[in-house]
Amino acid sequence: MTERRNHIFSFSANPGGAATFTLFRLAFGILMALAMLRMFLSGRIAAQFIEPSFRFTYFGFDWVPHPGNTGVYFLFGTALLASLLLLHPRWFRWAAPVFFLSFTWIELIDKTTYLNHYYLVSCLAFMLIWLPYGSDARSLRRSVLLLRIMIAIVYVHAGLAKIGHDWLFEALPLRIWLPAKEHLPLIGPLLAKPFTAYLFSWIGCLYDLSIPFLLWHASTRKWAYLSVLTFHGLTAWMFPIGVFPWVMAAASLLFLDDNTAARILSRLRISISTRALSFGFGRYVLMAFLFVQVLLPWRFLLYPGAFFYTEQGYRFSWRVMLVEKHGMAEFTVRDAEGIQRESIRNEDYLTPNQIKQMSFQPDMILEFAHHLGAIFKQRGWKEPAVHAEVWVTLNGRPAKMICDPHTDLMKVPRNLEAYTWVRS
Amino acid sequence: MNRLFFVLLSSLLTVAACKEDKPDDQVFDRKSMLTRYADSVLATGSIRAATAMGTLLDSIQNLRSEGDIPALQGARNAWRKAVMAFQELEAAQVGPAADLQVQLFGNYFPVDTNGLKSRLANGNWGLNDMATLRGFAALEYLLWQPGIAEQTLAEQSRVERGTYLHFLATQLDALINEVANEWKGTYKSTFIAADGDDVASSLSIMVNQFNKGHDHTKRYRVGVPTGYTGNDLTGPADPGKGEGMYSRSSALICEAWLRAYQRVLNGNTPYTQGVGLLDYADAVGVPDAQGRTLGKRINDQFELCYTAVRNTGNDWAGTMKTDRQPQINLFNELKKLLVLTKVELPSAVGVSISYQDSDGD
Repeated sequence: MTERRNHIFSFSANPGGAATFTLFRLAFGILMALAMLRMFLSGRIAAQFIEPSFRFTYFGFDWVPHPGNTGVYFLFGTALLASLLLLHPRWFRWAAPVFFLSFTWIELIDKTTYLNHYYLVSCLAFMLIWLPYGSDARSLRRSVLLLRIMIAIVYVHAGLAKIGHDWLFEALPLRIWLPAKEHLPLIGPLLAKPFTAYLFSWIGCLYDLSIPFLLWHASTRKWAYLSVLTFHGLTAWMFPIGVFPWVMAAASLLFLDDNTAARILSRLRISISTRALSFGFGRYVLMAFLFVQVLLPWRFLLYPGAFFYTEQGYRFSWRVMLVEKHGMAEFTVRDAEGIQRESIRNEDYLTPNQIKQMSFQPDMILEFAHHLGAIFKQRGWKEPAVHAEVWVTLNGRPAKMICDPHTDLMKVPRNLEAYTWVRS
Repeated sequence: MNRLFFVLLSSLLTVAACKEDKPDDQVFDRKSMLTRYADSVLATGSIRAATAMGTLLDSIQNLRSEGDIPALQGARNAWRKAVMAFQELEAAQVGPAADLQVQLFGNYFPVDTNGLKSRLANGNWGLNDMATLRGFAALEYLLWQPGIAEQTLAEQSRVERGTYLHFLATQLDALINEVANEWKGTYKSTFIAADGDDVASSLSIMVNQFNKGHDHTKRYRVGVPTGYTGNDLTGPADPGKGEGMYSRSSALICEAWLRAYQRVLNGNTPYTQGVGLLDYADAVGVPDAQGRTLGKRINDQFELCYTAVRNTGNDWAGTMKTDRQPQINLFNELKKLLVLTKVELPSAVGVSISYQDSDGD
C-alpha cells in the first residue's frame, strides 16, 4: 500500500526531512541577512521609508504605524539580527516570529514598495513560525511538503497568469524589455530579435507551470535544479529584480530529498537540527494558510472590468514580469463653489518612486486623491473635489485615459468594491 | 521535458555567443546613438547657446557705449536670438545643464520686478542675488521695462542700466559657458559609458529630463499665465506670470523650445539629421493599430503644436485677457505630446525608470 502511494504521489518518493528543512532554513537566513544588509548599504531605507511625507497603505492595514525615522532603522536592524538567528539551531524558533513581524511591518509601511517576492518572503517567514510542527520523521516530512506546496503555488500561479494573448501571442512585455538589454555581452544582440522574445515567453510560461513537478520527481530533479539556476541566473542578470532569483533558487532546495540534503550539509560540516517546539496545532494554521494562498490569486474573478487597468486582485497573486505599464496622473482640486482651484504638482507631495508607482495603479490614485482632499480641507477649502486625468500605456499600446476626469474622487469610497470609475 | 528547456537555453546562449562578432543591421546600436548625442547634439547645443550669448554680451557692450535706439534694437534682437538658442539647453537638461540648473539660474520667470527696480536705483546688485533676479527674464525686463520710453532706456544704458545689464549678461554668459566647457571635459565619456537602461543610464536620464522640461513648458510657459491648468480648470489669466511678456516673445520662445525639443528627440541639430531616441523607440517598439510608429506619432503631434503656438500670436499679454482660447488649445496639444513622450516613450524604449527593485508588476 505504502509502496503504491509512494509511486502515485511522487513527493513521497522524494521525501524531505530534517536535513532538507535545515538546508532551506540556512539558505533562507543567509539570503535574508544579505538582503537586509543590502538595504542598509544602498541607502534605500532613507529613500523609501524616511523621505516620503505620505505613505500608501494596504486596505485594511491603515492602522499599521510608521515606526518613526529611527524606528525604521531599528526595524531593519531587528530583521537583520533575526535573519542571522535563523541560522542558529536553537534560536531559529524564536527568530522566525521576530523576523516575520519585523519584515512584514516594513512591507506594510508603504505599498509603493510592494514586490511579489517580498510578499513571498513574508509568507515563508510566517510558515517558519509553525514549522516544523513535530520532531518525528513524519511531521518533518510533512513540514517540508507544506513548504513545497507553497513554492508550487507560486510557480503554478505565475505560469497560469502567463497564459494570455499578450504573453504568448504577442511576446509582450518581453518584446519591449529584451531589446532594451542589447548592451549585455554575449546574448545582447540576440535579445533585440522578436523571435527571442517569443522563445523566452513560451519557455517562461512552460517553465513556471512545470518546474515544481519536475523538481519533485527524482528522475528530473537534477536537470530541473540546473534549469532553476540557469533561469533565475539569466533573469537576475537581465532585470533589476534584486534578491528574487536567489530566493527562488534557495526555495528550490526544498525539493531535495532528505539524503541528498544530508550529504550536502555534512560536506559543509553543518549539523542537522530542527529543535521543534511541536506546536501540534501548527499544522492546522499552515493548512488554513495554504488554503487561502490557493484562493487569493483568483479573487480577480470577482471583479468586472479590465483587470490590467483596474488591477483589482493583482497583488498577492504571483503575477510576475507580466505587464509593462507606465502612466501619468494629473490631479486638480477645486472647492465646492468653484472659486478656489489648484492643479497639483505631484512632486510636491510624493517621491519620484511613489509618483511612478501611483501613476498607473488605481488604488494608489484613489488614495492619493483622498490625501489631497484632506490637505485642502485642512487649508480651509469647502468640500474640495479632486479630479484626476490618468493616462496609461499597457504593454506598449497607445496610452489611454483610464478614468473619467469628471469623477470627483472624494466621492469614491476606498473599499474592496469594483472600481466603476476606472475604464479601459 | 525539462532537459529540453535546459538544452534550449544552452543552445540559445551558444548561438548568441557565436553571433557576437557578426554585424547585424537589425540591432539598434545604442552606444553609437549616445556617442552621437554627446558629440553632436548635446555638446554642440551648449556651444550654439554660448555663441548666441556671446553676441548678446557684445551688443550690450555696444548699447552701453552708443546709448541710442539702434543699439537698443540691436541688443533686443540679440536677446531674442540668445534666449531662443538657450532653448537647446532647456530642451535637453542632461548632465552639466542639469547639474548647473540652467533653467532655474538662466531663465527663471516671472522676475521680481520690484527687486530689479530697486537694485537698478540703488546699484546694489550682487552675485548672490536669487534666481528671480537673474537670467534672460531679468535682462528682458531691463531692456523693455514698461512705462519707460525707448529713448530713455537707451540713454540710461550708458550709465547704471547698462552696467546692470552688463553684469547680468556676464553672469549668464559664465553659466552657459560652464555648461559648454563641462561637455568638453570628462562628462562626455561618462555619458557614453552609461549605456545601460537602469536609472543612472544616459538613456533613462535623457527620457526623464526631457519630460521634466516638457512639464515645465506646459505648466509655466502656457498653463499658469493662461490660467488654464487642464481638466476644465480655468482661472483668471495672469500674463504677468508668463515668459517673454515684456518683449512679446512668448510664442517665439515656446516655438524655439518645441523645435529644440523635437530635434533632440530625433537626434538632430539645426544643421544635421541624426539618429535619436525616436529612431530607437521605432527600432525596438511596437507600432499602433494603424501601423504608425511612436516616432511618427510624436513628430506628427509636434506639427500640431507648431500650428497651435503660431495661432497664439506674439502679444500674449495683450490678447490673453480677452481671448485665451488659442493658448488653451496650445496647452491641450502640449499635453497630447506629453502623453506620448512621458507615458509611451519610456515604455517603448524599455526604460520605465526604476527607483527600486521590481518584479515587473
